Amino acid sequence: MLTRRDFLRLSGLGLAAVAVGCAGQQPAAPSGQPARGGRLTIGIGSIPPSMDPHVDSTANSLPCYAQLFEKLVAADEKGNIVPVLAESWRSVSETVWEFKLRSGVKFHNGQELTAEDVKFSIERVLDPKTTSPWRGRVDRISRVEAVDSLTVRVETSGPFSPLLQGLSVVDIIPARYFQDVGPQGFATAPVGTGPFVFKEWVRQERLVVTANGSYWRGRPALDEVVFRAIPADASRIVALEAGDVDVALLIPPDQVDRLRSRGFQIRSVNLGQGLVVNLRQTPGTPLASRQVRQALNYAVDKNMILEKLLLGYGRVLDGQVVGPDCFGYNPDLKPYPYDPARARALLAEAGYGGGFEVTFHGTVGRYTKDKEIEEAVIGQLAEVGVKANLQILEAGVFIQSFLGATIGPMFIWAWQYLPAMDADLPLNFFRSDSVAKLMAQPRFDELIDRERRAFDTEARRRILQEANAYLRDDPPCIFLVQTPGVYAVKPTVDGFSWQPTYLFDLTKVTVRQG
Amino acid sequence: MVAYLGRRLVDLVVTLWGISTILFVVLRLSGDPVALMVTETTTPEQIAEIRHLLGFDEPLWKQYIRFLGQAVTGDFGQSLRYFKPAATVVLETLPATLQLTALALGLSAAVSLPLGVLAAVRRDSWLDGLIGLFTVVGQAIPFYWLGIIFILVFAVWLRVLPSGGSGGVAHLVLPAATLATYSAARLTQLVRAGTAEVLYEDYIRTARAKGLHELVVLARHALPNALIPVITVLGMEFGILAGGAVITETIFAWPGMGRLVVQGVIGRDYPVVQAAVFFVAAFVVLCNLLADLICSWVDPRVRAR
Repeated sequence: MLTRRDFLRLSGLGLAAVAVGCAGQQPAAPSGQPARGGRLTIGIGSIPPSMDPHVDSTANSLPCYAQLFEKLVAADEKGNIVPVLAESWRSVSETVWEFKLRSGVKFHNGQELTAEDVKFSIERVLDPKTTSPWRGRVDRISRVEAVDSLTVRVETSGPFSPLLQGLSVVDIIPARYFQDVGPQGFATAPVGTGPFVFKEWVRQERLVVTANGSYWRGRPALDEVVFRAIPADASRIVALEAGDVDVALLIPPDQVDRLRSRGFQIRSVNLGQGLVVNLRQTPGTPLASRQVRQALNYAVDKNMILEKLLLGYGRVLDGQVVGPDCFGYNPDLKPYPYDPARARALLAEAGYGGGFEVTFHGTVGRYTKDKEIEEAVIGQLAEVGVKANLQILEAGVFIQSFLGATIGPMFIWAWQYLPAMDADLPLNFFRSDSVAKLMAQPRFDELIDRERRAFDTEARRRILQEANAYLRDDPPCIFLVQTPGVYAVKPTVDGFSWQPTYLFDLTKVTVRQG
Repeated sequence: MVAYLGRRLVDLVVTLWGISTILFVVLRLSGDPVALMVTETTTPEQIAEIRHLLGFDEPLWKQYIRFLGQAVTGDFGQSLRYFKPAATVVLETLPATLQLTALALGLSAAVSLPLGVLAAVRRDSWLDGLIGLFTVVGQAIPFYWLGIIFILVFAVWLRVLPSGGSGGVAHLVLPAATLATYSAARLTQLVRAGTAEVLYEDYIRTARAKGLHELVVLARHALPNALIPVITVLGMEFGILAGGAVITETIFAWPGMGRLVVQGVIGRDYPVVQAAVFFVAAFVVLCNLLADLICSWVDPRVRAR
C-alpha cells in the first residue's frame, strides 16, 4: 500500500532528480535530449590522396580513414592495446599469435567480416608491390593463416612482442570485394567496417561520409561528416569564423585569443610525438661524449620554449622522447633543469671548455613553430659556447638525409609514436642497426632485444621504462616538448575530442541547431 | 601566313621538348621520391625494392628515353601519390585552374581596358592619379594577403560569398578577383602607356582634323594601335596567372592544379609534376601563339618580320 509518507518521499526524490537533471546539462536542457542527426564539417590541412588506406600514412589522413576502416586492435590514449575487430588474442608460442574475430561484424556492402579478410589485408600491406608505408611496422610477420572463419593465426620470424602495436595500423578491408573491383575501383568506392560509410571524395577538396546504420557498436548520432581540405592555417580559421566549418584543426597558438573572443571553444591535445634536437654520436666528435650531450640538455630552457613560443600549449618532455600517453613512459624521470652554469662545467670536464662548432639541420613548417624553436635552441647553445650552424633542409632532402644517416649531427626531429602509442617505435631508432645511425651502444641494443622478447605486458612496460631511464642518463638528444594540437570547435558542437593518437571518435558527437 | 604558322609550330615542339628535358633532369637531381613514400621504419632493403619496382634504379639515360617515348603518347607514368596515371590526375584538376585563370584574365581585361584608356585621355588629371595609385598598389599587394582580406570582408563580415572550396560560380569570385588584381594593375599601366603614346601620332591629329568625334577617334584609330602590345602581354599573362594560382588555390582551398604541383614537388611525385608542367607549358605556348596570330592579323607589319 502506498502511504501518505511514501508518496511525499517519492515525489521529493522525483523533484530532486528533475532539479539535478536541469543543473547537469545546461545547454541541452530545453530539449532534454542531445540532437540526433545533422552534419559536422571538419576543416583539416589535407585529405587522403587516395581512399586506399594501405598506401598513405600522412597524419591528416589517419582520422579520415578511421571513420571508414577499423583494425584488429587499437591503442587507446594511454597506450593500452584494446580490442576492435579482434575480440581476443593469445600468443600460442613465442612466434605464433592467435586472434578471435568479433562475430556478426558487417562490411558496408553487407559482407560479413571473416578471417580471410584479415589475412588478405595483412598480406596486402606486406606485399612490396603495394608500396605500403606501413610495411615496416609489420614486416616481422612471416605467415598469416585463416584457421576457421573467425580465427586468424599470425606467425612471426622470431619472437616479436610489439606485434599488436604493428597490427594497430593495418586497416582491414574486404578481400572478395577488393578482388572484384581492383585497387583503383576500391580507391573510388572504399568499403570498411567503420562507423561511417563512404559517400564522396573530391581530390584536394572534401571527403564526405554518412552514418553506418548497422555499425556493430551502434549507429553514430551524426548523419553526415564532411572533411574539408584547407591547407592554409589562416584560411582554416576564417572558414570557421564564416561558419563554413564546425571544427578547425591545428590552429597556430597565437591565433587562439582571437577565436576565443568570438565564442569558439578552444582546446588543445598533446599529440603523440616528442619534439627533440637529436645528437648523432659519431665517434671522435664532441657529441660522442655523454657529458657534452648532458651539458646541451642543461643549456636549453625548455619552459621558455613552451611558454614563449608555444604560448603554454603542449608539454615539456620528462627527459624521455615519449609522454605519459605512451606505453613505456617512465613516471620517475624528470626533465633536465635549465642550468647554463652546470652546462659550462660539464663541457669543461669533457675537454670542450672553449666550445665547439656543429651543423644543425632544421626545418620550416614541418612542426609547429619549428623555425622559432630552432633559433631559440641555437641562441641558448651559444650562451654556453657551442656554435650551432643552422641549415634549413627541404622536407624531401631532410627525410632522405635521415634515412641515409648523413643528417646533422644535430637536427630537429619529432619522434612520432602515434597512432600506436608505444615507446618501442621511437626507441628502436636508437639501436646501433637503425637506419639513422644515431648511436651505437650494445647495452641499449640488448634492452630493446629483451623488450621484444617479453610477452608479459607489465614486463615489457618495465623494460621500456628502463630503456627510457637509460636514455635520460645518456641522452641521445636534447629533450624539448610534446607538440600541441590546438583546435577550435563551434559552441554548438558537443562531444568532439581530438586524441593524442591524432584520431577522434565521432560516434558520440552531436550538433545542436543554432 | 602558312609558312609563319609552320615556323611557329616547330618552335612550339622544340620548346616543349626543352621544357620536359630540363624538368626531367632537375626533378631527378632534387631527391629520391621513395624516401618520401615510406615511414621511417622502412628498411633500406625495402626502399631498394620499391625503387626497383618503380624503375628508379635504372641509369638516368634509360629512364629518360623511356620517359620521352611515353610522353609523346601522352603517358607520363603512374602518380606515386594518387596511384593513377599522372596525365589523368592532372587533366582532372586542369579545368578547375583554367576556370580560375580564364575568369581572372577576363576580369583583368575588363577592368584594365577602360581604366587605361581613361587614364590616358585624362592625362595628369586627378583621375589619372587615382588610377595610377591603383596600378601601383595593385601590383604591390601580395596574393596571400589580399586573399585573406577578401575572405574576411566578403565571407566573414558580409557573409555574401563562401570562404573557399569549390561548388558554384560564387566559389570562383573571390579567388578570381584576388588573382586578377595584380594583372589588372599591370595591364592598366600598359594600356595607359600605349594609348597615351598613340594619341600624339600624326594620324590621330589627322582624324581629329577631319572633325571626327573624339570617341570615334579613340575607338577606330587609337585603340587598335594601342592594343597590339596589350594582346601580346595578355597571352603571356596566362603563364603568370597559372603561377599565381598556386598561392591563390591554397588560400581558397580551390582544388586546382597549382596545389597538385606543389604537393607533387614536396612529395617528389615526378610523374604528376612532369605532366602538369608539360600541360601548362603547352597551354602557355599555345596562348602566346594565339596572341601572336591575332597581332599579325591586326597588324600586317608583324607578319613581315
